[in-house]
Amino acid sequence: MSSARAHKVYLGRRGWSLTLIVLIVLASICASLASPLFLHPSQILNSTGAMVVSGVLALGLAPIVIVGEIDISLTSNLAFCTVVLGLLSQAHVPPPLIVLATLATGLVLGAFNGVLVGYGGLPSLAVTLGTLGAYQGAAFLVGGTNGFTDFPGAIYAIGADTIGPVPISLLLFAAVAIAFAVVFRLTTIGRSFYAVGRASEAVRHSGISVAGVKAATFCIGGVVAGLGALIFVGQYGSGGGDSASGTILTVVTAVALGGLDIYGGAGRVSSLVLAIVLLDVIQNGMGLVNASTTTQTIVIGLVLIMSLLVPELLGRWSREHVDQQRGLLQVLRFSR
Amino acid sequence: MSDQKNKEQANADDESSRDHSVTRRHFLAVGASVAAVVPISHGLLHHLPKPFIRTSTSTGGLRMFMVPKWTTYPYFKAAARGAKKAAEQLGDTFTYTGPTSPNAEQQVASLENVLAQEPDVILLSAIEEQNVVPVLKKAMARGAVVVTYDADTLAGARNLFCNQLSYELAAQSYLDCALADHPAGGDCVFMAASPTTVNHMQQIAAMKSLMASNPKYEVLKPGKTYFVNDDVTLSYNTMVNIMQAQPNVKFMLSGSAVSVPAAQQAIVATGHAGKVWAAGCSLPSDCKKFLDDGSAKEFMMWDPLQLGYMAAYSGHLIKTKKFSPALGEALDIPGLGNFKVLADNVVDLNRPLFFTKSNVSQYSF
Repeated sequence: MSSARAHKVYLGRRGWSLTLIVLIVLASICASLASPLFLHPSQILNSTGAMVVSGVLALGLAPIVIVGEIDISLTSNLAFCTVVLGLLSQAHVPPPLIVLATLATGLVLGAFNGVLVGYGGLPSLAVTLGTLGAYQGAAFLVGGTNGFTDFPGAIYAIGADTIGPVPISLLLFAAVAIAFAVVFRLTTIGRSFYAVGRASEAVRHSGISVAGVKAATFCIGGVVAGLGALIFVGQYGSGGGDSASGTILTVVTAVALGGLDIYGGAGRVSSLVLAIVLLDVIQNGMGLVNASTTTQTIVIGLVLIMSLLVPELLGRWSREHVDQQRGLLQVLRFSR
Repeated sequence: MSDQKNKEQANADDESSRDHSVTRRHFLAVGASVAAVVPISHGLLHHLPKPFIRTSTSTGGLRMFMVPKWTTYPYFKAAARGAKKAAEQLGDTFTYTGPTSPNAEQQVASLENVLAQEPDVILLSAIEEQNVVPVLKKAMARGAVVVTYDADTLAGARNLFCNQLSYELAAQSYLDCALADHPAGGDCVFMAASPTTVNHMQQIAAMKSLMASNPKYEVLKPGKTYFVNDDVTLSYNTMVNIMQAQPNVKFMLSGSAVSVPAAQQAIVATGHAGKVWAAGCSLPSDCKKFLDDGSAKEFMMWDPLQLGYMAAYSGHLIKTKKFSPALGEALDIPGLGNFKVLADNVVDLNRPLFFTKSNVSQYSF
């Protein structure tokens, strides 16, 4: 088991990123062959808008998956945050305070999941399936079925404006990605995520609080959902209970395609970012030739399965190959 | 303990001695993924319908894009046939694209993709009034003309709204259907897609005010509004619940052509035919069986082909500066008629079609 895990981790580290890069190049070639409009920097930068909210949520989900848990309530967390944002905007609260309050709301909702999973020892899929419905319901209760459409310009700018040609939302995504990459690889906290995900039992003896680390990752995911809410309202000009509903599948797809081990302990931010880029290129390229959303879903599903299956099959094949060679060596040794 | 360390050491040695085979494996993995993806994407490109792959040769006409609430619904397909006819007559290229289910965020993504294709005219039936505003304003700033049909957005985010029926005339037609089903009247409930679906909500408001003010409709008593997201299953289940919880409800009234037949199906399936009626807007192909089996007498709609034709034609006229929408201006659509622009740049088609057992089979949508 542990050697199989080690093997998978090993393959995941380098092979996956390389595979994703090749797939991105390929998808880009296909897209530019299909549509002469694809290969324009402004077009490509603009297309990131469709993926950036899911991308940010996928980054938020990463630490949770690395400790071996899952949070499928992130989109509902985002929806509730947009309601808080809407209410505070209505009350003419200054924008910096709105930003802080939105992030804090995300943190609290994330922490609720984290405490139940980390300290309560409850299964995260069940807990967050519950809060997926509960947070959205609460968002409708508090925000009403109409939602909100008036936000101060400064808040609106986060999701809607650009600095030069680059969308602010894309810069925020990049900032979170870089911060996460640094924290995951270079800090004790980051290493404790992987340690908890790999072997909870061993970590427990080493004095790290497994419950604390798990709860912390849910808090991080929650804050990122709050950031997602700030981007969402600018992007779509509205907030309410139905914000981002249904996008959790895209988020989980990105995480799986990014090569994060769903059982925890392995996965890199760089691969996750590449997976999000790949999803964006596919979505954008197929959108430009007006392929139906069903076709897009099918293609993304196929790419996901192929990217999991092909390395797995080849890994198995070459392992058998090595075993055969070893067997032959042993036979030779004995015959000598 | 030291045993385990040794094992770990051995494992590590194993890994490093296998290093070259691992690298080779990666290239194989990548190669195979490539081999798998190329034929898939290649095949897909070839299977896309021809008009979806735009060549660089321009015919000199406008680039017209139609984005419905969702592309697969017969009503929107019929509207697209009408719009395509206008585009062909005017020498414009026409593309029909959009989400395959009524998902507001997917519709925005579709519009973003249309915007990247440098459209001259965008024809839109908005799922949500507000969601599409940022992208439409961006399109208008880049010189595209936006005409909404079937379901509107905010007035500032489009040039013109082609309204199938004034909200009042629609409301009146729905109530007429209800009274045709059961002249004695009774308690009514309403269904709308969502609170932000403008046409449904405005029609419900108009129905309520007609019930309160017009003696002809005072036998009808307004009740609750249910939000069912233009969804067949949700409409069906909601209707079943309504009939259980509120036994004196006689009518479900709706401007959603999805909800009306779904609710009527629930009525028939639970044995309430002849006691409860779903009345309002329905495709003739959807309501035919209820008219045939006698569980309902009348449904209504308008001709989506005419609506699509009107939207496309007026979009072309605005873009080519032959018509500029403003209050009181006249919009002349050859073969369809002359229309007056109302407040907020709305034109009403106002040609309700009523379907009964005797005429329903004449219609093909």
